[in-house]
Amino acid sequence: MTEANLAHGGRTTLTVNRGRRFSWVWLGVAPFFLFAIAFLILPSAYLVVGSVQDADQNFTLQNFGDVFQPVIVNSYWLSIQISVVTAVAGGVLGFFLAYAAVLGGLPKFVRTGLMTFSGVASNFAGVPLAFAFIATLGRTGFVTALLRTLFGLEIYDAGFNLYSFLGLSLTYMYFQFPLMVLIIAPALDGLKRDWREASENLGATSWEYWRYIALPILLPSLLGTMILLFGNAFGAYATAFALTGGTFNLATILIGRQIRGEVLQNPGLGYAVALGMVIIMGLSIFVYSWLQRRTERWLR
Amino acid sequence: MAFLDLNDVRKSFMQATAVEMFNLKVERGEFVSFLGPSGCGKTTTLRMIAGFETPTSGQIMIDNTDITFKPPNQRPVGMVFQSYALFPNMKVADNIGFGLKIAKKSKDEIASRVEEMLALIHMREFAHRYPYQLSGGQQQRVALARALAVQPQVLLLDEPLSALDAKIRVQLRQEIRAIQRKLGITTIYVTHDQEEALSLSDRIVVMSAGRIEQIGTPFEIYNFPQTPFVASFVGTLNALEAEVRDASTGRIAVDGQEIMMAQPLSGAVTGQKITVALRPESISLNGDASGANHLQGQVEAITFLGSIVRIQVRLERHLFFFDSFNNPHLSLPQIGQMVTVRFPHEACLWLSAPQSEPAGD
Amino acid sequence: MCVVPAIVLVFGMLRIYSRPPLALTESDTGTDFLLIAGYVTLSLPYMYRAVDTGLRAMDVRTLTEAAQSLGAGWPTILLRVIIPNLRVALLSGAFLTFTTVIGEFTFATFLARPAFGPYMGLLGQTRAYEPAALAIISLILTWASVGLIQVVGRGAPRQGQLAGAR
Ligand SMILES: Nc1ncnc2c1ncn2[C@@H]1O[C@H](COP(=O)(O)OP(=O)(O)OP(=O)(O)O)[C@@H](O)[C@H]1O
Ligand SMILES: [Mg+2]
Repeated sequence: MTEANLAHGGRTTLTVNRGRRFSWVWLGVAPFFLFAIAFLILPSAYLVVGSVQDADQNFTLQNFGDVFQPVIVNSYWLSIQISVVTAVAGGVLGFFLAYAAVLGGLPKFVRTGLMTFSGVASNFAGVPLAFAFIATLGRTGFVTALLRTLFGLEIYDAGFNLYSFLGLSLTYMYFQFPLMVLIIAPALDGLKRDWREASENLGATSWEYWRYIALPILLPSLLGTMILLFGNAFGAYATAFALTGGTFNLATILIGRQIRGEVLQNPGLGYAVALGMVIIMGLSIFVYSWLQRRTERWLR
Repeated sequence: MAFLDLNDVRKSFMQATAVEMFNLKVERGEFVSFLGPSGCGKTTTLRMIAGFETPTSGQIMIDNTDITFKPPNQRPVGMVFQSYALFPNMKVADNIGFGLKIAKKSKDEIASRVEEMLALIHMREFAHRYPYQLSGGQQQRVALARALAVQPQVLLLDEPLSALDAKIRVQLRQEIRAIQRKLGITTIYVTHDQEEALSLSDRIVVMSAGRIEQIGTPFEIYNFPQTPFVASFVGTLNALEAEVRDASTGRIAVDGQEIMMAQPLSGAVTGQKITVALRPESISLNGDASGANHLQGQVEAITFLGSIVRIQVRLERHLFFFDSFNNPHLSLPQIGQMVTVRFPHEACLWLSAPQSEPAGD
Repeated sequence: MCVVPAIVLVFGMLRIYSRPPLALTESDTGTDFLLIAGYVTLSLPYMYRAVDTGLRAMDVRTLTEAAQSLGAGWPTILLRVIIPNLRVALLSGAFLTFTTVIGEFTFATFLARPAFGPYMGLLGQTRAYEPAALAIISLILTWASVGLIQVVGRGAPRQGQLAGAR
């Protein structure tokens, strides 16, 4: 009893002291927290609550069981596939481009040019990106026509379709690889010349330097950035919607149709689907920041 | 034939020449320092020995093998970097064992050699730490062990201690020298700290603006500098301009005041301008009897340096200083006071004129 | 990149703010407000990143202490020391937000506001050539913003330019 009182008393004093000293600080960040609560936390919390309620607002876990029906599982699977493919392909392409520009001994303007392009391309997404691809690689697109007239190549007869998995992946690639370039170029800059020289001095070849030193140092950044690319593609809606007119069954498209009331016919299930997205995004961001911290620790 | 032999080595970048006419022969087991101010080409020379730069002309030999154009990973040369350059993704033991792993040595052999190296640098208990968990001094020790683990024939150190604080610097440099002696490894040590060079080296190569100024033992470099540059850079000599009054007797004048050199100035003519060096530790104030030469000047500054007191005196144009041992009963002159200082003839050295050929070995 | 994708965020917002007690979507003004709030939320991660980079680069503590020792009060420090030093970070964050928001589709569509994004979407479904023209306009706007980011950021530490995909 006494102990509890003491402890309690102690804590109160502490709070009072701190309260006085930090009150202005809290006042300063209050608007941010209010805003975040209203427009980030509340909507998210609503999804959580909604996902464990049935139509009559009774508690249920049924929705999480129902998530495993084919249409939902397929949409998630498709989203994951396209995100993984574009993250890995974009990541590898972006890495080699950045490698060439940073360590390839090319003139400086190549690097500046690539970085500027990447800055633009990684931000050029959504509806206009879809239009740009339709105008170039669509059935009547410019590049399609060009290939036809120049080489007699009919890409749509050869099995290409912009409105397919391959076409959408290609479109996503346009913002995926530049993002990789932007994030990995500074990491490549961080490879010290001394490391390479020290390894050469100890007898290592260029390949051994990459195998034992450069790649292990870069690996967390590489993986982390690819995970970021994954999340980037996973949460994308506008590009896919504008390209395929909402017929391509991605998780985001499914949620869009659910908002419009076109599918599922069960609000709780819709919330559960949305919550699933948040969980996957949250996981990838968690792994990303974990990997990021790991690299930072090494390179302090 | 010397063990390490640099023959007329020259290196230029674009237009600028970083190293010129570099001739040096290092014997097996010798500890040689490159000493010189920033930008004088010490690192460039070292990097040519390691193979990171290719000489524009000239030849580098180790043990009678021409290695001038060998890639760095095929040279029997170990290097310790100023920035340590430890691999951040490897633990201490893996860093030290890296070269052996590359050389495809067996696991057991690597383990025992790493153990041996760790013992050598007194860091057994740190084997499983990452570089970021070590202090600067510890990191540099690991870098040394890593370079030595592959048993190179020549060890190169590029200002290995310059990133460390003064105390650990002194301790570590002695440790480096002890290890070098124990292994008997031929070593080139780059520094711009003259005390470091003087205290460690068998021989010192003093460099300035890409050229060798003088090569010699610390004793020679300190006591018999051959150029004004060496005199002013090594030790704390006063370099004064003087006019020859009588070459045959060694009579010269500094700012109009005549003094005598110990020896005749063979080759000089009356009226010629020469540079002489004056040792601060052999100059003393008025009262002391020793010294046949004397100069009169005004005290300009008095600096307390602990065990010694440094007094700056202005002649007409020249400024020079001398040191007095500190003792509680020392009676110091006042600033602005006129004093007469005395010094023996031998305290005065004739430095070759700056434009003469740099001294070779 | 935000943990909550735009489509999920607008989903949650619609459900909360389309019925009492917070029926913001009843009026156009309310919906516009909601739209703005959504965009601000979307911009938080990279705005934070930009400012964080800026703050790290300038050593706030030393600057603040130096200013305090010279007799500056809090308002002066904030307005005349910190914010001018963050100019680059704030501006690049702002331009990035502009790029993202100007053609934003997801929020505007589901909140049913006639913004540039939904307009493009609509045109894309009904016209053949205009969408390509819109894509070019959009690309030019993006170029301009990224160009401005690079102009204001010249000589300053690299700012993040990542807003994430849509
Ligand atoms: N890669 C390079 N390209 C052009 N010039 C260079 C290069 N490396 C060195 N130099 C020039 O060569 C000269 C000698 O440089 P070096 O690094 O050898 O000097 P240092 O004696 O090691 O100086 P410090 O004590 O500062 O390390 C300098 O003038 C430098 O600017
Ligand atoms: Mg150097």
